[in-house]
Amino acid sequence: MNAAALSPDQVAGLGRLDLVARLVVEGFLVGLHRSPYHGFSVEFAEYRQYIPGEPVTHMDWRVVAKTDRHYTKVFAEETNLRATLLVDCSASMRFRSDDAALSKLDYARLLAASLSYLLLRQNDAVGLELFDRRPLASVPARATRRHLFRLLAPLEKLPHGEGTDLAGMLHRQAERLPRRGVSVLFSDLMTDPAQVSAGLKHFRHRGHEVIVFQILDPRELDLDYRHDTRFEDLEHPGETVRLDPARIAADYRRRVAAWRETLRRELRGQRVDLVELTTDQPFDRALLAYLLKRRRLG
Amino acid sequence: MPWTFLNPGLLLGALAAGVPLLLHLLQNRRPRRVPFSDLTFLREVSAHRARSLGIRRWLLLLVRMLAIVLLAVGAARPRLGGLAPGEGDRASLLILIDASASMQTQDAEGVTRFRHALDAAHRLTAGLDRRGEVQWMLAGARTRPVFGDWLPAAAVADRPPEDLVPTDGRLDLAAALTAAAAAVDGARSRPVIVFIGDGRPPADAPAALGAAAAELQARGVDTVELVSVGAATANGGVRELQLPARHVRPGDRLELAALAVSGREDQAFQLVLDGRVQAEAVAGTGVGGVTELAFAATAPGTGLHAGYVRTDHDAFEADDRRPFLLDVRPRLRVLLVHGDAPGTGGRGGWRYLARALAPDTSRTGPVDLRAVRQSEWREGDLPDYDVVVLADAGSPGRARLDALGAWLEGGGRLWLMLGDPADAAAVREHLLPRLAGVDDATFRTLSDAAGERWRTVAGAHPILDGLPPEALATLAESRWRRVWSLRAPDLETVAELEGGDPLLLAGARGRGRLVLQTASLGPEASDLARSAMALPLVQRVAGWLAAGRAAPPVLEAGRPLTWTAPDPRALGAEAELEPVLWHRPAREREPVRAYDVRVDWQESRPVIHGPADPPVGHWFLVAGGDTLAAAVTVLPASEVEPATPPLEPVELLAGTGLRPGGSLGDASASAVGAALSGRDLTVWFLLAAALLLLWETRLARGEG
Repeated sequence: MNAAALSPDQVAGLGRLDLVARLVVEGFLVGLHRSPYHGFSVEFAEYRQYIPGEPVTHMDWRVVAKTDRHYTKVFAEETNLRATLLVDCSASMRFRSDDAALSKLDYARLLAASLSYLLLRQNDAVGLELFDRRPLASVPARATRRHLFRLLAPLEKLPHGEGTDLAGMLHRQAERLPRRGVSVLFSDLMTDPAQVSAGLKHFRHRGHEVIVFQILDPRELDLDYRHDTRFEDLEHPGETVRLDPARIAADYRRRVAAWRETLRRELRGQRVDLVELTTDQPFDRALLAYLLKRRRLG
Repeated sequence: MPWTFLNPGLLLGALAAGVPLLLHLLQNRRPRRVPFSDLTFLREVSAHRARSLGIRRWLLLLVRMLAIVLLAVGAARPRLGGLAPGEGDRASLLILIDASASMQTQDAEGVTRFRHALDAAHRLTAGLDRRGEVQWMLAGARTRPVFGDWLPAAAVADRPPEDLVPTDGRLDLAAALTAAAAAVDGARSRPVIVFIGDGRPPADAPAALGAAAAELQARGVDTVELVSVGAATANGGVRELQLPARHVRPGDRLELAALAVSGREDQAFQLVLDGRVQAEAVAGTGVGGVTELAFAATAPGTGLHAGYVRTDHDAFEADDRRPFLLDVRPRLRVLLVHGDAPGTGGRGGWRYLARALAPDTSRTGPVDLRAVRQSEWREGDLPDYDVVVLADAGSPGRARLDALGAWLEGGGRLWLMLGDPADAAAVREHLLPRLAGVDDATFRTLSDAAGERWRTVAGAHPILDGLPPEALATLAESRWRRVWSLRAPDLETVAELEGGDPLLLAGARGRGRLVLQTASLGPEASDLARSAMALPLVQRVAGWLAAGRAAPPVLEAGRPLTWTAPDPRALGAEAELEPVLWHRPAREREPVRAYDVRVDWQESRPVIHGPADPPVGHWFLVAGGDTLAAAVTVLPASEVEPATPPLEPVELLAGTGLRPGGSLGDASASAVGAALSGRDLTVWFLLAAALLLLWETRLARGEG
């Protein structure tokens, strides 16, 4: 959809998170200007001279008629939204397969940074919660540009997460969030779909709009390993399973597909937007999904 | 069933099957360690499939190893079975086709067994690799190759020979095996030998078969593939024919005996002479029975007469008409050589014999007799006579004795009447050993002046056969006083004396006949001359001796037609007229045909050479409008069977030491190719390997 969007492979080597976030978002927006989604969540701010090659959609023809000069309308963002980014930092999120450029957590971190940049650029207030089985970091929501650096700081230095209690943490975060807004969850949702649904229901009960970015590694979906393998559990060190993946892959894929379908069904029941991502996909899909949600919220 | 490989070296590729085993063992020892986000699903799958995965792991290993082995075997181009030991372009196939008379038997559709055999031979040839070589041989009484040399299988398969016909001969299996052994030497590789026939047992002597089989075995061939063609067919025909045993004169009662086989109930047989039916007989036996039929007719006039004993036409036509030639002569020509020198006296027994032979001096009697002293006859006179009588003779001299012996061995008829021993030593040491095969003999005079009586030993012998009892009683009254005591193992004793000394002996010597009478007819030796039976007995002895003397030979069809003419003078006089050999076939619908003939002179005797595979029928050597010689060819008795069911192939080779193969069955088209060249399993092995690899892929993915 967006040729200017950066892929995980491209941003994996970039060091500064703020720079990555800006590159991701600017690239996304450039592509967005050429897309049918242009102009939502913004309102008119000023005129600027038309640059040849730009679409004439926002050309002010009245001005053209009066002055014989070409001006286009520039829209200013409007915000009264409070967004809280919830990043699952459990050990399972640290998984990165051999072929992947980013771990799930890195992907979530970059996506959260990019979304923060985008939200602050639109003058939305952005907060941040990091957790595994317990809260790891919390940044209250603000709408200032400088707030970006406060958001990025804990993302730059993510703590070494342990096992997760996603359902419990969702209940806990739902209780902590002070007023209604948009909650954005970054997680692999590696737990019982019913419990996830229950936690998110809590958010909904508290009046929050929720969008969930489920981030998985492609290998978690297809189990594309060739040889006899001893798998080590990241969340439970010491626990292993020895398998020949090639021989169980089909069965594994069936079970994963069933789990994901259950998740979709549960979250749809809670009217929670689920965006399924893999760590090899560009970030623009996630950003666009958020903007669509933002647009529905007005 | 043996396996062969066209590229056996590639079988070493099967060793690569050890590679997956090695990898399997190595992987099993050191599994790769991989951190994974969550083991929930893996544990579920593992618990669910732990046992099957273990089995599947080993199954996968097995499949991989098997696939590699199959690939290696497939690359080696395996062939299962196959008789041709050489590879496709070196395989040699030698087909012996039974061309004996019985192969003319037709099935319900009118197709002969020989035609079926040719079709089978064609299928066999077409089933061979086209680059292979093939030779066909027709095996009858003699075996001849169909092609001048081994030919490419493709050439024969594309253009099979069309003009092959069976013979009227029997199967000489020994000759066929010998010819096959000779052909083996010219083949590129040790050939597969296939015999196609109707399974009738060969008539060969076991020793000859064994010797011929040994020739094949010496060349590395110990198996002959056998293909049976034809089905059991009821058959009626004439197996043997017995012409009169004594000389036939015009107007004599003519009696013939035929050994007939019946193809149906109450089958009728007819005696046809000079184109006219003379007598008819019905075989009283049922289907498949063998009966001796007797025909009685009146002998026609002087000359050579052609005839048949025939029956109705059936599926095997060759034995439905059995030909014969009857030589009817008014008088016997007898040369009587006696040892009665002037002044010897007392040894005049020959005179009584001469009188008994030719009582009528008017030259119209049945015997034309010429009597000469033993010192006066010439060897060149012998062919002029039907019978030579040597009476009261000593040794006629070595040269004459040798000539007489050769004449006897060559078909002459000799009556040896021993009289008083003027030169007993010459009789004992020269005459008897040379002419009668008697090594020890003594002359004795019985002490009883009355002498010993005649005692009949073989009353059924043609000399005595048919005599009424009173005639035999009269003979038994005769008394004999001076006799040679001897033992003649090669001759049959027709009569003896009461004391046991043989008196009248008869038998064959070579192609001739011999009667040995151990006592003279002179009054000192016997009183038979005064008996009423003297003349009949003498006439009967002469008639038996003369029977068939000048009759045309009866030869076996299918063998090269060769015979010695009895009358060399006629042939010598007409030799420059380029004689032609005419054949009058026994089969009704076949035309009379002329054949090339060659006459050789061997020891002053004309030997006539006709075709190599003569069919059944009458043969006449004609020059200048005259018939110089004649012969008749008959179907071998072994070919005339009431029914000819296909035998078990093993019986054909019984006693030869050769093993019958069993790969060709009835030589159906579907079985021949595989049986000869083996079934090429390359595609199947490669296909199996491909399927296994496909399965391996599914197993490896956990789908299988």
